Amino acid sequence: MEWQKLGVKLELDGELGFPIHEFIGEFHRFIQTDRLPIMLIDVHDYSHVHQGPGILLVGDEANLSIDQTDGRVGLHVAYKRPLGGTTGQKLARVLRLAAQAARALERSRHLKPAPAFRSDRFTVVVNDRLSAPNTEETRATFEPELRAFVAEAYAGVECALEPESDPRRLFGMRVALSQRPTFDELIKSLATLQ
Amino acid sequence: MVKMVGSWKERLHDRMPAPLAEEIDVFETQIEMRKQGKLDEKVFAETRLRRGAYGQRYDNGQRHDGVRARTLEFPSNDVHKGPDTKWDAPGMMRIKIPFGYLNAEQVELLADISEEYADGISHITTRQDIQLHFVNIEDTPDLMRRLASVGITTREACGNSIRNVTACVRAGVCRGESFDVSPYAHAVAHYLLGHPDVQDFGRKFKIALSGCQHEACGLTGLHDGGLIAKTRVVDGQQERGFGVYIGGGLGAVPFQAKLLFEFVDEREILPTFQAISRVYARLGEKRNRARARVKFLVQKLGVEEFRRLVIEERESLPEDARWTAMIDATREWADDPLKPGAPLGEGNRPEGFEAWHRSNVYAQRQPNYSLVTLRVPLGDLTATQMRQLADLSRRFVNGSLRLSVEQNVVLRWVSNADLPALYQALRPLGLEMPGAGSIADITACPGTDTCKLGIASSRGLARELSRRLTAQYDELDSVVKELKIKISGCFNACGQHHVADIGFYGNSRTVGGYTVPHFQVVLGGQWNENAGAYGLAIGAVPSRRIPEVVQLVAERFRREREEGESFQQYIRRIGKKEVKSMLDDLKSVPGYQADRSFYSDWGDPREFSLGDIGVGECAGEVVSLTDFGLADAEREVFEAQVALDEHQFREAAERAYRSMVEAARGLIKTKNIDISSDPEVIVSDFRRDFHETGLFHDKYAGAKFASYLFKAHRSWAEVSSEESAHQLVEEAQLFIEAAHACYQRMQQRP
Ligand code: SF4
Repeated sequence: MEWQKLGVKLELDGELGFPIHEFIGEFHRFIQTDRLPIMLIDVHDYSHVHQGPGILLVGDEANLSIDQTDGRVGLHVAYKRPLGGTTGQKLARVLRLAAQAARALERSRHLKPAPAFRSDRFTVVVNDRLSAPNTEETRATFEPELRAFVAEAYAGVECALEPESDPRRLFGMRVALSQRPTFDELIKSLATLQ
Repeated sequence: MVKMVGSWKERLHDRMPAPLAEEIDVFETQIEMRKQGKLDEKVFAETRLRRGAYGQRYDNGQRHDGVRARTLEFPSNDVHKGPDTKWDAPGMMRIKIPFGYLNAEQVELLADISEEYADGISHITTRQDIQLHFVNIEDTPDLMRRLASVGITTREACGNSIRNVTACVRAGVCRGESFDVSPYAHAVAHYLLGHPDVQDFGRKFKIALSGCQHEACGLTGLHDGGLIAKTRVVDGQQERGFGVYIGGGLGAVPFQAKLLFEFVDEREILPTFQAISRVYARLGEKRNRARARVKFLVQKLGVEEFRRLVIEERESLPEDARWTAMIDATREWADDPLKPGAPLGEGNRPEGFEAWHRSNVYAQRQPNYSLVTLRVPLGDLTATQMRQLADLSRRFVNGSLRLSVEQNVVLRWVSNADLPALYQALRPLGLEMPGAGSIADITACPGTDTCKLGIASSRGLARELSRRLTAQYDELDSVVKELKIKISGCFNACGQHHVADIGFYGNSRTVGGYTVPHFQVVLGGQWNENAGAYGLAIGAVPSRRIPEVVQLVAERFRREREEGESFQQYIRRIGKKEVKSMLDDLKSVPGYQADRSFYSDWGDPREFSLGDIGVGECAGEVVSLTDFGLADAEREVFEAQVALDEHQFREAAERAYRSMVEAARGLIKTKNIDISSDPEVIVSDFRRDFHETGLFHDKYAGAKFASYLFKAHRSWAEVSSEESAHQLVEEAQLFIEAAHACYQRMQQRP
């Protein structure tokens, strides 16, 4: 199956220790210093929106946001442009970008206390209701491919998957792993899969 | 295995009206042709605009990142979707929602497409549209197909055509209306949609309907065309009709609409607007966009002549059966409650309910029913909120809702007994905030967030003001709570600042070699009486100090108002001189080293910039002769406003003219400090050095502002009416703004 418009949301570890709008400056610095390997365009402040995209970093290939959907804060990477390769290769690319952004945010001198994101708790989303309606049929097709990817990216780690239950929402699966690699380790591992 | 997915085109084939499906197919082909270079980019630009696909900030591939100007290297950088507009750059999709009416299925669909093609946000505009941002042009055909499958079109949402037809959100439940204008808004919108007679306009044409004269809801006074519901009794029979208005508009030069016809029978409104469209298409300006709105045509011809032409045109129109059929269909319009109305009981009320009930609930004409306004910060809704709103509309009302021009959502026909449960249900959505329509509920255009023309951050300022005022809301005096704040990112006035008590529009000033974001303060506009009067500009204040402006103006009003006095009356009573002096202390800008916050905009930490700016050498201020000249010009135009207030039209006109000459002289001083004070010489030198060289020309408005000076030089002495004096003052204000902008550009050049 040709999945496109894949997204990943890495969960925040604990609470944010500062107001969410502090990410605005950091995302502008991402643009100024070419911190990520994709072209970044602009920063958008949605902090006034209830449980919304929070602070949005608009890119050409993908958007990133400090997303607050359902009151759960996380770093969301949403690919917009088509990706080539197998499902595993596509997922590796998306997750790697999320990991690179998370690592950069965790290491920022400007965000205090430093935010921490979970490399072992994330949700994979397919942002396309045409190819991936939120149905049991989609789950049955997508899940084996996701499991195969996780087995390769997180070798030897146990994995629990939980699908998004509301059929009106985008199809997605929450991934919970038994071990938490550092983002350095994860980025290295994913580089071999892309 | 998942079966083959096909395409939205195949999947929705049976659910789209055939003509609409065909139009979208044609558009998809045009996209392909443009990509292959087989369709002229200008033609394609107007084509996509008429499909609602708009440009967005940075789509020219340039952006200043706060450190340096950058070229955005989009993948298909050599393909353009319009002049200077990169193919891959994210764009905006405007979706017309006639009179703001949406059913639950449409709301759910909007939620889906906002996630799949945009950034997950549906933005409510000041004209009851929905806008999606960061949309790729190649996604637009499928986006349109999905909208078409639930009965929504984006056709003519932008471009030189009839824009969304708006109407009061209270229509049908209002206690003061003549009759429900909703089905008439539907008829006007659908009759004129794609009509051959509206395809050749020089500019856009906006229509609004109102159920009465005195409330604000329809805002017919600021529209190109307005309809106000009226009834009359003939031979004992009540007849429905409309007062028809023409030639209103905001933007750079605001005009109040004029009465075109006192009473047009309901069955005549469609041919009347067809005739108006023909006259406008035939005689309206086509070359000079700045003079192409119908307001300029009405001004040029005079309303009597315009009326005569419309009547003549009407008489020659070939009969169209839809004129009456579509009006007869209005009788079938049903907007019924879901359940019988019941009174609000005495039982337990949730915490916060009383305050919310006071500000957000309007008692409908129909006993035991209420209209509820949900306050939506900056008009932004997530997909989750949209789906939950669809659910609530099915649970509490008849599966519909309306979008308001104040960027809120309105639920009608809520049984009073259900109000506490509705309030509870709104809490998880974050939409239970009190203060709908209050000073804390601020309207703002997209401004520098996404608009290509934005100068200052209207949304950033609105967010900040709303945050502060919401925190203080419970303590605010009731007369302060009722004030309205509206903000535009530039003089184009999409935030409708002209009709707010306290309005702002973005501009900038140069201080010590740095560009500083400012907002022009516009006080005393009138929201009631269908946007009955426009405020006048008082002066530009640094963006950082605008919260102080609001606090000061609101506090003075609270302390000094006389019994029963409105804000407009108060401003008029104390006079503009006093208002200006109230703000004088807030106009200063600390030096760059002393406080850098003044040099960036709200919500955007980048150093404010209109391009690459060299860093000034001095720690203190360097005030040039040009700075002085421009300050003199501002003073002069202020005096012109005062004269206008005192009905001294000639004096107002003369001062307005002199202010422009002063500003021009200030600019000329950059080249010749010995410039004469003779207006003939100044205008002639300005023409040679600033106009003919293009130096003064605005990137978007071209020579428009320069032409104001030349016109005033020729004919200011002929000004004979309050309206023409008012216009001259407005033009002087804009000329001075343009002089500031020109001076900034000159300083920024290497
Ligand atoms: S007022 Fe100016 S900044 Fe605001 S949307 Fe209109 S053109 Fe853009």
